[in-house]
Amino acid sequence: MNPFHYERARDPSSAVALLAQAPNGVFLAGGTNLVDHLKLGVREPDLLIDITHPPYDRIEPLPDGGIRIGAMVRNADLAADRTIRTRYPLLAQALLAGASGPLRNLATTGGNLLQRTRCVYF
Amino acid sequence: MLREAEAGWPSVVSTDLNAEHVTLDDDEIRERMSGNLCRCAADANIVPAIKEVAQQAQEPLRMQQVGKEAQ
Repeated sequence: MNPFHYERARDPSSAVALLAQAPNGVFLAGGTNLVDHLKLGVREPDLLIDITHPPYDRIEPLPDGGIRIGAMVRNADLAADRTIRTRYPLLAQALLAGASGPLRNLATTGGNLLQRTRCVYF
Repeated sequence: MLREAEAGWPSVVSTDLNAEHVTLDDDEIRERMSGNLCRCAADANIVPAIKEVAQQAQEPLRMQQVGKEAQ
């Protein structure tokens, strides 16, 4: 594993500012995908920017009948959310079918969508 | 894990995602403990042990509820 620096972003704009200064930096949320890549040498960032501190951890029903899921909502919390379970059962089931409890407790919605393949032949 | 079940959180083997109460049968316990267990996962006594603890954890709760009803 290569040495790297770690910074915790206070808010979204400071997260973007930190990344702008470190072209080889990456955002870190749950880390369930990124840490695998660090171990495999797929990614070799010099800076990890922890973005779990800023907001975006809410699940909000919208007036138009839709729902807004924050990028920092954990998979476990999303699957357990009453509105998701009632109105979007397929989403809850898909989340519960993925990984294991300990991983779902860390993995985030944003990171889930941004996953990169971890196949070693890739 | 017991608190999640107590709160009604479903798992992928739960038949009703919106059930108020989760019964921790063998399938539920195995699913909910997967990923928590490592080399000892093959120990057949893990599931009965969790069941026993889950029942013990519910006992005082039930006693409290009965107590409240009696008042």
